[in-house]
Amino acid sequence: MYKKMIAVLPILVVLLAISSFHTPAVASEPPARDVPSEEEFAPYWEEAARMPIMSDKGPMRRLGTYPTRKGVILVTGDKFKWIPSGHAAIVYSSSRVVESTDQGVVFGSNNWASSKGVVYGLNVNETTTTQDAAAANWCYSQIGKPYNYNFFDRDTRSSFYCSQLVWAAYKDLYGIDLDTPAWGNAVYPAELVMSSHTSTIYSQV
Amino acid sequence: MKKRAALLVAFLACTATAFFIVWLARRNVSPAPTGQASFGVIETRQFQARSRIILYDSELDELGDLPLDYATLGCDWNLSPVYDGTLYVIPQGYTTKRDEKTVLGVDLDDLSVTRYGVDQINLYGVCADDDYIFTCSNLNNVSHICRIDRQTGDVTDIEETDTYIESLCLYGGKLYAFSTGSPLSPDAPDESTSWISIYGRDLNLMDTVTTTKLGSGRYRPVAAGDLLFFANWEDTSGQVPSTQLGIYHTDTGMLESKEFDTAVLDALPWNGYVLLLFGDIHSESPTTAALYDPATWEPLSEEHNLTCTAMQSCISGDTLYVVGADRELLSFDLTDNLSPLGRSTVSHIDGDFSYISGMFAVPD
Repeated sequence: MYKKMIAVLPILVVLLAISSFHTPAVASEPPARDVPSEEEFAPYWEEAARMPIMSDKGPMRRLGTYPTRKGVILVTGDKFKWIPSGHAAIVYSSSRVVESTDQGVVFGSNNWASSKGVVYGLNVNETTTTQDAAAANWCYSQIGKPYNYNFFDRDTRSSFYCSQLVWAAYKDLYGIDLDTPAWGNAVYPAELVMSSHTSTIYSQV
Repeated sequence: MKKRAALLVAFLACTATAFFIVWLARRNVSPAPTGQASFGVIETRQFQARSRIILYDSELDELGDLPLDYATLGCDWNLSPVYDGTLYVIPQGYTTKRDEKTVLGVDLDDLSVTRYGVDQINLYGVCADDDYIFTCSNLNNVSHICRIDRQTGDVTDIEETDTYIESLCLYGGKLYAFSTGSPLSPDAPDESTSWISIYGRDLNLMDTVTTTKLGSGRYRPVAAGDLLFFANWEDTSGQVPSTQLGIYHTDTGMLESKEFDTAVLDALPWNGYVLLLFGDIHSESPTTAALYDPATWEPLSEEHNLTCTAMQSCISGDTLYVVGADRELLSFDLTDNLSPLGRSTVSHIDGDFSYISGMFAVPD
């Protein structure tokens, strides 16, 4: 018994030391149900990268300029841990976006050109710039609502995930459905890029 | 007996190994000769908890780095200030969480790190004095200003509803909170207001100065010689950067502005003068810079093309250091009409995407 303890104890000491390497604590929320894998999203991001760049609406702007116009949709393909689907937001001003994070619907910085690797800026084809701004205001009015972890429940308005927030603004205000048939009722950021109702006005790959 | 001795030796060897592993985990991977450092750059990423602070000498050579296992270290629009030889930087954490609830104080002499806990989500603004560290945060359009007592770690917290505090600046014993509100009404859905809330160190509100006509988006206010300078990254339309530089006289309470031909990006005090950077941080157009006398606003230098879109900048000694949007690192001589001194590139922490979220001068 004594010999076994002597043999095991140093192993435990080493394991304890290795565990002292700092790793930031990350709250282990349950992953969203049925989130497709990174491999399943890959073809969509590859196709998104091939989308032609169109001119933005409104006053003449240089083709492919980073968008700061209120109502432009931003999508990133950057992958975060167990959510490989990317992230989406809507431009509220030249310096701010409205987005849904784990903290719910909040303001964020409109600095995606520098802070993210893969970024798309999207126009909704059927709307005017005034309508786009109203969509951003609609998203602003959702600030404070919690995050929606059920990606397939896009019809709820009491909580939002990132791409659902943007989708709901155009759906509720103008009846425009930015979703695609790819993932059923869930609307993922890549689908906003692939939607027949949007055009890519900025691409950073 | 021999077996017991062998087991004892094995135990001691494993224990020594364990202590060595712990020492490895805590030491700087690349210790930098901090005494030679002129400035530093913060490199980070939003979706991985691996960042670093890189120190450089005046020749733009890397001296070493300090790894920090946090995501979104520093907010690339707000300043990470240096006070009394310590860099104050906020690790927000993963960008979709922003829940690190931490302010870091990095001693620029020995690169030791002090962690200050604040029970607020989405921290982004920070400033400090001898007794306190102040930070701001926003969640659901409710802003918080937190005051951390350096000695006790106690946190005093005040709340401002329907307010977005863009940045904080501490000067002359007062805390200046640059704030905006965006009331949403059917009549004026795009109307927003901006102001400066002035607090004492005890977080009692002393005054409010309306700045709506100057615009909003004040992320990098700086103070020098009783003047508080602030660029407005949005004009009153909220769509384009403002060409007005805001100037608040901290001694008299007077607010004024100076109009320029192009959008003002940044203001950096230097030897009683002010270096202004002009341009749009979103634009691919090069940033320009010129030196001004704040007493007369006469330009003391020609407007110089910095040949990059300046994302971060700082002045150390008589040299302007700039990090561009493509990770270019440039230096300019302030005593010689901003003549270029050097050009380099910020190295990558590893093969994955990262970006530069801050820049700071290392004090002598």
